[in-house]
Amino acid sequence: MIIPVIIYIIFLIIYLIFASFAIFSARRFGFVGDATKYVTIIFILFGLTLIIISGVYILGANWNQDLDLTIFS
Amino acid sequence: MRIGIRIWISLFLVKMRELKKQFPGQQADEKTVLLARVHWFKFAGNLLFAFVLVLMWFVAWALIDQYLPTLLQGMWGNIWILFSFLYFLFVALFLYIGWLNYYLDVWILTNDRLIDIDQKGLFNRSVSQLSLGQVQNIKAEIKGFLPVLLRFGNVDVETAGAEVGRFSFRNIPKPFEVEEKVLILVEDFFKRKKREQDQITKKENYAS
Repeated sequence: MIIPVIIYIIFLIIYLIFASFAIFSARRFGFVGDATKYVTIIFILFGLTLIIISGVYILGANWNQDLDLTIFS
Repeated sequence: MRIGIRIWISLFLVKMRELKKQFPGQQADEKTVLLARVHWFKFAGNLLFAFVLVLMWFVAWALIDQYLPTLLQGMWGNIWILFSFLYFLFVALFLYIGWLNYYLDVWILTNDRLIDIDQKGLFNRSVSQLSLGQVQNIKAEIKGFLPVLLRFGNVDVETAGAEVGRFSFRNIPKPFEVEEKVLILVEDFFKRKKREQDQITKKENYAS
Protein backbone atom coordinates (compact mmCIF):
# COMPACT_ATOMS: atom_id res chain seq x y z
CA MET A 1 0.00 0.00 0.00
CA ILE A 2 2.42 2.60 -1.23
CA ILE A 3 -0.19 4.88 -2.89
CA PRO A 4 -0.34 7.43 0.03
CA VAL A 5 3.42 7.90 -0.26
CA ILE A 6 3.13 8.50 -4.02
CA ILE A 7 0.33 11.06 -3.43
CA TYR A 8 2.47 12.68 -0.73
CA ILE A 9 5.44 12.95 -3.11
CA ILE A 10 3.26 14.48 -5.85
CA PHE A 11 1.98 17.16 -3.43
CA LEU A 12 5.50 17.67 -2.12
CA ILE A 13 6.72 18.36 -5.67
CA ILE A 14 3.88 20.90 -6.14
CA TYR A 15 4.91 22.50 -2.83
CA LEU A 16 8.57 22.61 -3.85
CA ILE A 17 7.71 24.27 -7.18
CA PHE A 18 5.69 27.02 -5.47
CA ALA A 19 8.26 27.42 -2.70
CA SER A 20 11.09 27.83 -5.21
CA PHE A 21 9.02 30.42 -7.13
CA ALA A 22 8.50 32.34 -3.89
CA ILE A 23 12.17 32.16 -2.90
CA PHE A 24 13.21 33.24 -6.39
CA SER A 25 10.83 36.20 -6.18
CA ALA A 26 12.15 37.15 -2.73
CA ARG A 27 15.77 37.02 -3.92
CA ARG A 28 15.04 39.01 -7.05
CA PHE A 29 12.92 41.74 -5.49
CA GLY A 30 14.19 41.97 -1.91
CA PHE A 31 16.44 44.91 -1.10
CA VAL A 32 19.97 44.57 0.20
CA GLY A 33 20.01 44.13 3.96
CA ASP A 34 16.25 43.97 4.47
CA ALA A 35 14.29 41.31 6.34
CA THR A 36 13.50 39.25 3.21
CA LYS A 37 16.76 37.32 3.60
CA TYR A 38 16.10 36.27 7.19
CA VAL A 39 12.45 35.38 6.66
CA THR A 40 13.45 33.31 3.62
CA ILE A 41 16.06 31.45 5.67
CA ILE A 42 13.46 30.70 8.38
CA PHE A 43 10.99 29.52 5.71
CA ILE A 44 13.60 27.23 4.11
CA LEU A 45 14.70 25.80 7.48
CA PHE A 46 11.09 25.14 8.52
CA GLY A 47 10.32 23.44 5.19
CA LEU A 48 13.50 21.36 5.25
CA THR A 49 12.85 20.24 8.83
CA LEU A 50 9.34 19.04 8.01
CA ILE A 51 10.46 17.35 4.78
CA ILE A 52 13.33 15.53 6.54
CA ILE A 53 11.10 14.42 9.43
CA SER A 54 8.42 13.21 7.01
CA GLY A 55 11.09 11.38 4.98
CA VAL A 56 12.37 9.61 8.10
CA TYR A 57 8.78 8.78 9.04
CA ILE A 58 8.03 7.34 5.57
CA LEU A 59 11.14 5.16 5.73
CA GLY A 60 10.35 3.96 9.26
CA ALA A 61 6.60 3.35 8.98
CA ASN A 62 4.97 0.10 7.97
CA TRP A 63 3.22 0.64 4.64
CA ASN A 64 2.31 -3.02 4.04
CA GLN A 65 -1.11 -2.73 5.59
CA ASP A 66 -4.56 -2.58 4.04
CA LEU A 67 -6.83 0.37 4.59
CA ASP A 68 -9.61 -0.55 6.98
CA LEU A 69 -12.66 1.01 5.33
CA THR A 70 -15.08 -0.45 7.88
CA ILE A 71 -14.30 2.32 10.37
CA PHE A 72 -16.66 4.69 8.51
CA SER A 73 -19.60 2.29 8.59
CA MET B 1 36.21 43.59 25.89
CA ARG B 2 32.63 44.65 26.64
CA ILE B 3 33.18 48.10 25.17
CA GLY B 4 34.63 46.48 22.06
CA ILE B 5 31.56 44.28 21.63
CA ARG B 6 29.28 47.30 22.16
CA ILE B 7 31.16 49.32 19.55
CA TRP B 8 31.05 46.39 17.13
CA ILE B 9 27.26 45.96 17.65
CA SER B 10 26.57 49.69 17.21
CA LEU B 11 28.71 49.78 14.04
CA PHE B 12 26.83 46.73 12.74
CA LEU B 13 23.46 48.39 13.47
CA VAL B 14 24.54 51.61 11.73
CA LYS B 15 25.67 49.57 8.72
CA MET B 16 22.32 47.71 8.67
CA ARG B 17 20.43 51.01 8.84
CA GLU B 18 22.47 52.35 5.94
CA LEU B 19 21.83 49.20 3.92
CA LYS B 20 18.11 49.46 4.59
CA LYS B 21 18.12 52.90 3.04
CA GLN B 22 19.56 51.63 -0.23
CA PHE B 23 17.47 50.44 -3.13
CA PRO B 24 18.20 49.29 -6.69
CA GLY B 25 18.61 52.18 -9.11
CA GLN B 26 19.52 54.68 -6.39
CA GLN B 27 21.68 57.53 -7.66
CA ALA B 28 24.94 58.52 -5.99
CA ASP B 29 23.70 61.83 -4.57
CA GLU B 30 20.22 60.56 -3.78
CA LYS B 31 19.21 60.16 -0.14
CA THR B 32 16.36 57.98 1.04
CA VAL B 33 14.18 60.03 3.35
CA LEU B 34 11.35 57.62 3.90
CA LEU B 35 10.76 53.96 3.16
CA ALA B 36 7.13 53.11 3.85
CA ARG B 37 5.21 49.87 3.60
CA VAL B 38 1.55 49.01 3.89
CA HIS B 39 0.46 49.07 7.52
CA TRP B 40 1.12 45.78 9.35
CA PHE B 41 -2.63 45.48 9.90
CA LYS B 42 -3.00 44.44 6.26
CA PHE B 43 -0.66 41.50 6.87
CA ALA B 44 -2.41 40.64 10.12
CA GLY B 45 -5.27 39.17 8.03
CA ASN B 46 -2.88 36.59 6.55
CA LEU B 47 -1.43 35.89 9.96
CA LEU B 48 -4.88 35.37 11.45
CA PHE B 49 -5.91 33.07 8.60
CA ALA B 50 -2.75 30.98 9.04
CA PHE B 51 -3.44 30.81 12.77
CA VAL B 52 -7.01 29.61 12.08
CA LEU B 53 -5.66 26.96 9.69
CA VAL B 54 -3.25 25.66 12.36
CA LEU B 55 -6.04 25.76 14.94
CA MET B 56 -8.31 23.81 12.57
CA TRP B 57 -5.73 21.02 12.42
CA PHE B 58 -5.64 20.77 16.20
CA VAL B 59 -9.45 20.81 16.40
CA ALA B 60 -9.68 18.11 13.71
CA TRP B 61 -7.08 16.03 15.55
CA ALA B 62 -8.93 16.38 18.87
CA LEU B 63 -12.27 15.49 17.26
CA ILE B 64 -10.86 12.45 15.46
CA ASP B 65 -9.13 11.34 18.64
CA GLN B 66 -12.42 11.66 20.51
CA TYR B 67 -14.91 10.16 18.04
CA LEU B 68 -12.90 8.12 15.53
CA PRO B 69 -9.65 7.04 17.25
CA THR B 70 -9.08 4.18 14.79
CA LEU B 71 -8.36 6.86 12.17
CA LEU B 72 -5.17 7.71 14.02
CA GLN B 73 -3.91 4.13 14.09
CA GLY B 74 -2.42 1.72 11.59
CA MET B 75 -2.49 2.67 7.93
CA TRP B 76 -4.97 5.54 8.48
CA GLY B 77 -2.62 6.91 11.14
CA ASN B 78 0.27 6.89 8.65
CA ILE B 79 -1.86 8.77 6.10
CA TRP B 80 -2.97 11.27 8.75
CA ILE B 81 0.63 12.01 9.72
CA LEU B 82 1.73 12.44 6.09
CA PHE B 83 -1.27 14.70 5.41
CA SER B 84 -0.36 16.76 8.49
CA PHE B 85 3.20 17.31 7.24
CA LEU B 86 1.87 18.49 3.89
CA TYR B 87 -0.74 20.66 5.57
CA PHE B 88 1.83 22.52 7.68
CA LEU B 89 4.16 22.92 4.69
CA PHE B 90 1.38 24.57 2.68
CA VAL B 91 0.34 26.78 5.62
CA ALA B 92 3.95 28.00 5.88
CA LEU B 93 4.04 28.60 2.12
CA PHE B 94 0.80 30.59 2.28
CA LEU B 95 2.19 32.71 5.10
CA TYR B 96 5.50 33.25 3.31
CA ILE B 97 3.87 34.34 0.03
CA GLY B 98 1.50 36.63 1.97
CA TRP B 99 4.46 38.16 3.79
CA LEU B 100 6.36 38.69 0.52
CA ASN B 101 3.35 40.45 -1.00
CA TYR B 102 3.19 42.68 2.05
CA TYR B 103 6.89 43.33 2.46
CA LEU B 104 7.89 43.88 -1.17
CA ASP B 105 5.22 46.55 -1.63
CA VAL B 106 7.26 49.66 -0.88
CA TRP B 107 7.02 53.43 -1.24
CA ILE B 108 10.31 55.24 -1.25
CA LEU B 109 10.65 58.95 -0.79
CA THR B 110 14.04 60.41 -1.67
CA ASN B 111 15.25 63.98 -1.92
CA ASP B 112 14.70 63.77 -5.72
CA ARG B 113 11.71 61.55 -6.39
CA LEU B 114 8.88 59.37 -5.22
CA ILE B 115 9.01 55.67 -6.06
CA ASP B 116 6.04 53.35 -5.80
CA ILE B 117 6.93 49.65 -5.99
CA ASP B 118 3.77 47.63 -6.33
CA GLN B 119 4.02 43.88 -5.75
CA LYS B 120 0.99 41.83 -6.78
CA GLY B 121 1.61 38.12 -6.39
CA LEU B 122 5.02 36.58 -6.97
CA PHE B 123 5.66 37.63 -10.55
CA ASN B 124 3.73 40.85 -10.96
CA ARG B 125 5.69 43.91 -9.98
CA SER B 126 5.38 47.47 -11.19
CA VAL B 127 7.63 50.40 -10.35
CA SER B 128 6.39 53.98 -10.84
CA GLN B 129 8.57 57.02 -10.32
CA LEU B 130 7.75 60.65 -9.96
CA SER B 131 10.09 63.60 -9.80
CA LEU B 132 9.38 65.92 -6.86
CA GLY B 133 9.32 68.80 -9.36
CA GLN B 134 6.10 67.40 -10.83
CA VAL B 135 4.18 67.39 -7.54
CA GLN B 136 1.28 69.84 -7.55
CA ASN B 137 -0.99 68.82 -4.73
CA ILE B 138 -0.92 66.33 -1.85
CA LYS B 139 -3.87 64.90 -0.02
CA ALA B 140 -3.69 62.67 3.04
CA GLU B 141 -6.70 60.97 4.53
CA ILE B 142 -7.61 58.52 7.26
CA LYS B 143 -11.01 56.95 6.80
CA GLY B 144 -12.77 54.43 9.02
CA PHE B 145 -12.64 53.20 12.58
CA LEU B 146 -9.63 50.88 12.36
CA PRO B 147 -7.49 53.30 10.32
CA VAL B 148 -8.18 56.03 12.91
CA LEU B 149 -7.36 53.63 15.74
CA LEU B 150 -4.16 52.32 14.16
CA ARG B 151 -3.21 55.54 12.38
CA PHE B 152 -2.97 54.43 8.77
CA GLY B 153 -4.48 55.88 5.62
CA ASN B 154 -3.91 57.04 2.06
CA VAL B 155 -1.72 59.74 0.58
CA ASP B 156 -2.62 60.97 -2.91
CA VAL B 157 -0.03 62.97 -4.79
CA GLU B 158 -1.44 64.88 -7.75
CA THR B 159 0.99 65.62 -10.52
CA ALA B 160 1.48 68.01 -13.39
CA GLY B 161 1.91 65.25 -15.98
CA ALA B 162 -1.35 64.17 -17.58
CA GLU B 163 -0.08 60.63 -18.10
CA VAL B 164 0.86 59.94 -14.51
CA GLY B 165 -2.20 61.69 -13.05
CA ARG B 166 -2.37 60.65 -9.45
CA PHE B 167 0.24 58.85 -7.39
CA SER B 168 -1.42 56.98 -4.57
CA PHE B 169 0.07 55.49 -1.44
CA ARG B 170 -2.52 53.15 0.04
CA ASN B 171 -2.80 52.13 3.69
CA ILE B 172 0.49 53.58 4.86
CA PRO B 173 1.19 54.34 8.51
CA LYS B 174 1.06 57.98 9.65
CA PRO B 175 -0.18 59.51 6.36
CA PHE B 176 -0.20 63.10 7.68
CA GLU B 177 3.48 62.87 8.63
CA VAL B 178 4.23 61.49 5.16
CA GLU B 179 2.29 64.34 3.56
CA GLU B 180 4.30 66.87 5.59
CA LYS B 181 7.60 65.21 4.66
CA VAL B 182 6.70 65.25 0.96
CA LEU B 183 5.79 68.94 1.15
CA ILE B 184 9.09 69.82 2.86
CA LEU B 185 11.04 67.80 0.31
CA VAL B 186 9.22 69.43 -2.62
CA GLU B 187 10.12 72.87 -1.22
CA ASP B 188 13.74 71.78 -0.73
CA PHE B 189 13.79 70.35 -4.24
CA PHE B 190 12.73 73.67 -5.81
CA LYS B 191 15.15 75.64 -3.62
CA ARG B 192 18.00 73.33 -4.66
CA LYS B 193 17.08 73.61 -8.34
CA LYS B 194 16.93 77.40 -8.05
CA ARG B 195 20.34 77.46 -6.37
CA GLU B 196 21.80 75.27 -9.10
CA GLN B 197 20.26 77.49 -11.78
CA ASP B 198 21.66 80.62 -10.09
CA GLN B 199 25.12 79.06 -10.00
CA ILE B 200 24.93 78.19 -13.70
CA THR B 201 23.81 81.74 -14.54
CA LYS B 202 26.64 83.18 -12.42
CA LYS B 203 29.19 80.99 -14.20
CA GLU B 204 27.82 81.98 -17.62
CA ASN B 205 27.95 85.67 -16.68
CA TYR B 206 31.48 85.26 -15.35
CA ALA B 207 32.56 83.50 -18.54
CA SER B 208 31.11 86.18 -20.77
